[in-house]
Amino acid sequence: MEGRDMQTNCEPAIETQNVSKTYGLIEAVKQISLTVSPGEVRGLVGENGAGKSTLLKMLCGITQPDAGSMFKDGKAYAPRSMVQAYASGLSIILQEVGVIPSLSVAANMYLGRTNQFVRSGVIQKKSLHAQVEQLLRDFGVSHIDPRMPLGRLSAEDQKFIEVIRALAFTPDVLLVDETSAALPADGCDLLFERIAQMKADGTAVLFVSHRLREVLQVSDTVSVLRDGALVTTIVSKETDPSGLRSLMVGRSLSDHYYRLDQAASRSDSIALSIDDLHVEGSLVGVSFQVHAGEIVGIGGLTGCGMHPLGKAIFGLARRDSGFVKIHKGDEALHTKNPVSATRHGIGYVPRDRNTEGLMLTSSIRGNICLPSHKLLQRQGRGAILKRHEKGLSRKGMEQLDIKASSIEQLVTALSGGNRQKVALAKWLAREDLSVLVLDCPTRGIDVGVKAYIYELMERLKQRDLAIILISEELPELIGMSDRVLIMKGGTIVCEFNRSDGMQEQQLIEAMI
Amino acid sequence: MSRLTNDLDAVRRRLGNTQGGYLSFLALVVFVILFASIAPRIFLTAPNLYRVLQHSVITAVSAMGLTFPLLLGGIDLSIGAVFAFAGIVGATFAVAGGLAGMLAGGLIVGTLIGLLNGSLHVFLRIPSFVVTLGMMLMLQAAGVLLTGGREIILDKSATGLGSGIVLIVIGAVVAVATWFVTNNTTFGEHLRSIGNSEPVAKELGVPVRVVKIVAFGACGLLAGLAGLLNTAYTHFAVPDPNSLTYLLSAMVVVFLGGTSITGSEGGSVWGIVIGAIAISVLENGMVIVGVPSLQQPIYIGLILLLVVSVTTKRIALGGQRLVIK
Repeated sequence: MEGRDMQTNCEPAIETQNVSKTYGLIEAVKQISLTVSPGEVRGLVGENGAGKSTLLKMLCGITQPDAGSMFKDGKAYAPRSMVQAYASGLSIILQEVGVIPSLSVAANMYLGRTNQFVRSGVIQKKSLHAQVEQLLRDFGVSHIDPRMPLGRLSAEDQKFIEVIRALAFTPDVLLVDETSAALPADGCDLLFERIAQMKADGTAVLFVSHRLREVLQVSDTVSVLRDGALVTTIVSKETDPSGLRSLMVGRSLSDHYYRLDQAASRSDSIALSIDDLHVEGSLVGVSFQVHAGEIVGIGGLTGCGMHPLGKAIFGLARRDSGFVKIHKGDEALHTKNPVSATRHGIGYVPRDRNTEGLMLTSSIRGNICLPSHKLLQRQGRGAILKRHEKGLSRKGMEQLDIKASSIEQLVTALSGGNRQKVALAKWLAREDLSVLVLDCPTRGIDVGVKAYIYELMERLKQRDLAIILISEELPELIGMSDRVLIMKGGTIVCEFNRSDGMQEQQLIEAMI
Repeated sequence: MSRLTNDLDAVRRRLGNTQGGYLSFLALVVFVILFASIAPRIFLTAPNLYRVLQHSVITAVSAMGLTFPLLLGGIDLSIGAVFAFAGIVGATFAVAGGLAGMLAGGLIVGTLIGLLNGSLHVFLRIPSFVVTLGMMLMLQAAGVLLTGGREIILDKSATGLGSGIVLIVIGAVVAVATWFVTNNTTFGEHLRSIGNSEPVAKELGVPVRVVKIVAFGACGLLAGLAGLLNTAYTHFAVPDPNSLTYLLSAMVVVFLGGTSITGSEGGSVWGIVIGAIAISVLENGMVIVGVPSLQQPIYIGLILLLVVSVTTKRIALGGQRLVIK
């Protein structure tokens, strides 16, 4: 009740009135009116392409609305850049902003707001470093030197610095875009703790995430966007994830988009065997086999080695010892590197599709055709012909229902879900594919595409493909796998079978 | 992944990637010990070492200019041509204006060419590689036309600039100034931000266009200064239709110093200074030892490959974009 009182008594901290934004023919945001009061935590959910990111970008000055107006504390607010947004008391955690690896930790911390340390163009490094040192100490970080170039920190520490950067300044309005941020676990805890604190201090928070459970946990109210328009704003306590989900897609989506069968199934023939795999610093003696038509889930805590395992299977990490063998009939073909892995029919969809899985500045056609050049060469008797390429990529686009204007569209222009479909399509274009390694295939993807990918996995299973599903989400592992292998400290510690009925609690206990 | 790549990566990790200067320092120590032990009586004399130091200043100054465009992810291929052209202009102006005339003429011309490079790059959206390539060709020809292909003997009144201690002091001042600007000013931070990612820099409020134009201007200024120093040092200006040599030696020194061609990384002034001295020692030593001059580039090339192979971040080349803006 307290929250509601606040809403009526105070001027909204941030408000949009009928803002719209059009990109070409696409209306990304349609007349959205939204108010967030001081001390309110507002969740913002919607499928990919629903307009969440565009709305956020307008609020933080990266793009400007075509129509409508925005207000901050009752005053007109029209930032032209992020720096202006910062100056008016916003703080933003956004993947796109990122960090500059060659600058020091301290410089990154004050990126875009170094002004207070600058005297006539010269940065007062001493006071900057002292300030950042103090900040880090306040957040309980003692192992990071503010003078160090940020690029030399571990990936998680870099992310951590990003979080601290956004939280260090007590803003009037905090925007969190978690859909692409993928924070480490302790970063998340820190974030939620600070959000609660800021709420108490009267900060308005706009929290965007695909993890609906989390959104409901953190927020007071949730606004749902669909196709660029605001559907409704509801009180978090009065709904649940499936309620939100049906509002997001506009139809009631059953909670059971996972496999329905409760028994494990697989064919008798082994498709892939991994034998005593060692990789320095990540894997210690991993052995297992995958049958054709089997989905093997791999789970564990951060640092357990499941992501390096995916890389190692595809040959991207240098193996110190051990084998990865593909079985074709009676033959066992060794794979050593991505070249032989691809030749023998292994496909790999990496965790980060943007930096590893796709050529972003290339077209859908270019991406889909890349692993199939041998096939295309055969079709064209030695030459790769455009019409064969087009045929192959059109087929892929249809098969996976990729939403794009044409096969020539650049992948950068696609939404996250469609990008992931392209990353999948390029492997599925190969008829000789026998093993597919999926590393977090539904990470940062909306429910619609998520359901589609699960459905696709089932179809591929029917086609006798062997699938290795590496995932950070337990429901996904339990929902999709015939077998789940739990990793800890670089090795497999436990195995669960679908037929025995898997429980989240069991898996968690095995992980810890 | 070959074993060699992995071993190299291990060496790099140990050296610390951004501190490329280490290896140029190591190279310097090795060269000094080498030539000091082969020909101590000639190499290890004060006048010779002094000469080595003087000689290194000229390359170091143009190399420091080059770091500005490199840090923002661009490149300036015209520095060799600016170097020669500024020398010609300076020598011409020295006839009437003495030292002041030479300085004013050469530095203004260098800076203007640099600013023009930057403006063409920014406003016509031509990659800096192409802009400066075109500029290089035009300046080379202009130099030949202006002088009729003859060298210009520098007026006596202006030769003081290239004499001994003056040269070294100028080099030191430029080094300190470059270090300060790239490390302690918002301009330096802006350069690196652009080199890291232009869209991100824009969102952070970096005036990308201005920074770029100024960076190329600074590069032109220092290339011009280096050209004047060289003219004063050798006492004449040559319209060199093949100014590539100057460009390449500046590049060798920059990369030796650990600056990355992909932008943002490195830019250690210390590395450049040491690198310039190391190359100067090597050139001087080879002459003393009697390595035929036609053979000398082979050794310089080898040293460059060796040093850069252990200091460059391989991921930056293989894993990410390699775009020259």
